[in-house]
Amino acid sequence: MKRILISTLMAISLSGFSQVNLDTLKEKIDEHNAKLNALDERLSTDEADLFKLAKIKISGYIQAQWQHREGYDYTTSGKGYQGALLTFGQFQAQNGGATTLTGAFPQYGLSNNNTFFLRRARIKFTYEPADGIAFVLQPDLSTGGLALKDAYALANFKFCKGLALWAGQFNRPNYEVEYSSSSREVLERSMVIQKLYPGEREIGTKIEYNSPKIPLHVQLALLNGNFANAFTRTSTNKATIDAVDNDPQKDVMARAYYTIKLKSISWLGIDIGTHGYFGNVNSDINTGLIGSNYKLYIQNSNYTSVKRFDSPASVATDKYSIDSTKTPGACLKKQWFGGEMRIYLDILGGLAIKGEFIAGQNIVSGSTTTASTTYKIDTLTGKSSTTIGSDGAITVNTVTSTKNSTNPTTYLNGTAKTTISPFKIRQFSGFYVYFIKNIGKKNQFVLRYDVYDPNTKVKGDGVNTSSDIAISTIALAWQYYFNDNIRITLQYDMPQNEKSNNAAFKTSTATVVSNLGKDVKDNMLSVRVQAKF
Amino acid sequence: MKKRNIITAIALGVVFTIATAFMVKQKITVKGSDTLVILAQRWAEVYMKSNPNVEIQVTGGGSGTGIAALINGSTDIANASRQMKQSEIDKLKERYNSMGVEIACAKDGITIFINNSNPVTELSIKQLSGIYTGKIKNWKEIGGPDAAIKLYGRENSSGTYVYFKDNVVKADYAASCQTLPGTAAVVNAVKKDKYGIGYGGAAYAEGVKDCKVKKDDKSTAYLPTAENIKSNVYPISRYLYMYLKNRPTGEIKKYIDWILGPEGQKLVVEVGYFPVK
Repeated sequence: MKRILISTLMAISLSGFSQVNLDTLKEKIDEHNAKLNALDERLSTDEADLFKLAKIKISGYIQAQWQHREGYDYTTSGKGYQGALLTFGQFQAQNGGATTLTGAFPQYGLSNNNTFFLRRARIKFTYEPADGIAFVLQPDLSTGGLALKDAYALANFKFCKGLALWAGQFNRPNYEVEYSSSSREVLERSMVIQKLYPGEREIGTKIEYNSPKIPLHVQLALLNGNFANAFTRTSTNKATIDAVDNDPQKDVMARAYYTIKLKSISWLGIDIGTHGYFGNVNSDINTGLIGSNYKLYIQNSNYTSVKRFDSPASVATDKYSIDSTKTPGACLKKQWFGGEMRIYLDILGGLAIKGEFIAGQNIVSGSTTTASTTYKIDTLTGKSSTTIGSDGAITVNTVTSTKNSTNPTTYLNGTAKTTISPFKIRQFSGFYVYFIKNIGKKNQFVLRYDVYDPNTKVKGDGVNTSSDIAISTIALAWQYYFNDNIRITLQYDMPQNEKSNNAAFKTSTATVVSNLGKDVKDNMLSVRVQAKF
Repeated sequence: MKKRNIITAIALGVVFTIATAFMVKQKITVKGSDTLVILAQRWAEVYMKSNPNVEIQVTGGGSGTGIAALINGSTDIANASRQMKQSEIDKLKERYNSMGVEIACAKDGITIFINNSNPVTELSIKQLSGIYTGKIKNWKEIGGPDAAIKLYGRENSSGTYVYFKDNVVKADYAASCQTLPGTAAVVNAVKKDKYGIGYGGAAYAEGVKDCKVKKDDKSTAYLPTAENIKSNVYPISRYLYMYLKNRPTGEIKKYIDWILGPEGQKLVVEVGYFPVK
């Protein structure tokens, strides 16, 4: 009996004990579960944030450069360096035709012939919220201020694979324009490209088709058509002016290229293509004119310089004639065509030959030079103080009278500007050819020959303005790919100008004028270090 | 005497330097497709045994990653389970002035993995598209149990992801599709998940059921067997590629010739893929 009692008591006490233990264990498990759930929750939040971050891609590059250029003998003021290229040649092209260099372009003092500078410092942000959709923003932070290079949205169409729509600010459809500055084998683009597509970018929209079945690439773009063009600027505030669309007509660009790869000759690849530009410049837009109603444009019918006013007609009696087919405010056509070919040969580590030829009609702004013959336009101004330069530039020396609204002087009255730079129409042509040979895995030799003739209708001494001088350039470059991120380039440029005893160019001082009867000393040696990430 | 010793030491030093210079191992780096990685590792192991002067480093990461590495110069060979895109060829042209060299090294049938307990045995391309776009959500819609379908797939850097999207899904993947870093992970997930479905290279199918695939409702369904892939009746088969910047030379050429030769192609079969010859 006693034994039974003890056993019962023990059983009761043990069951109580195990119940207590189980409860404690359950509590502990619940506690840990709660902790794990909290961690899980935090991890899910972090994971979601990381997922968003993974959709943002950041890349960029910095190009630090040293440049030495040949000196130009001012003749009147001794040896000097500045200016020889500022209004002429490569530098003018780089700066979109502007006569003063700003931003990342090398700034030379009068007694200096070499300098360090930062050519580009870019950072590119790409956000891809979903498959086939991207937003791209690329500022340039190089010396001289912040500039926006790319800002566009890109969407791939679901119903047609390979078809994509772009909107915003992006590169114009052209091979060398779209060829990234960080990958290009020479330091700067060819002069014909720099002249036709200054700043490379444009605001508008573009449709691209990359066929998934065949290596065909087609681009069609609708653009404002005035971006970065010097003659549309009426203010020194470039950023503001660039964004202004000055005419209602939109410019159209189209490009297509096809890659030929022969199975029987696996070491050979050929890209062949074409592109065209079809645009307008409204003749009402004139940087030199302040009065917005002032009707004036220039038609270059004899290819030396021709102007046209809405009144009076008497100016037709001098060497400038009126083109009666044009009405004031008419659009002047800006259009050209190009053909491109690139050959890739897998010979001893790789060889490429690339070339493009472009020709057509461009609209350029008149120079403000007032040399040569002076013509009086009494009936235009009512005064004898207005002069026209040989290139069509008009200088109104003094304007004091206020006449009735049919007389153009009404619009000039009281304005601060006294120089008019009317548009000129020019037939141009240009081409470039690259020869690129890889030397081992890390080195590359490049030879480029490029030619740009801004006015094909005049040759030699027939050219009477520096802006019509043709320039050919031989560029020799050596690339050394230090590693995946760093590249060092050594380049020597040898520009050769067309010779004309009737053309001159100004230096940046705007007082020293040199004859272009000889080749200008403007060869350049450059060393660039590029860091890319 | 001293002078002679010095000369001897210098001479020995020069000889040793020259000798060791020639003894330096030739290094070949291979990166890319996760589908190909097990085969590439096998090739490398066997080749290095008979060629001790060559060191082959193989890593996966996906076809896109491998091709990107080829473009930026950090790999000699890029493995890919899809063909290079035009945009990738353009990048290769920009950097190396070359169109690249494509070598088809094996053939693969994209296998549809389903759990062993799942009664479903065959699916059409249309049904697979419906499943992966999220239109077909329940197994009972395609002859299986009344349970929600759990989707497993690859990350978008994978060539298999691209191939499957282009040739089977033909639209965007459903948001519910769980992306995993490799085919082995996909197989593992399906092995554990009764209602899971996944896709990937044939060589990985272990512990899961291969599903027969048919072109459309009227066609016969086939398993991804060697014969079916060779005779092109299995509807989702593809080539596996190796990409190089230029035509191979030296040790790389020898290695590729060996891969395409009888010994290399025998390993293709051993690993679970199908030979190109």
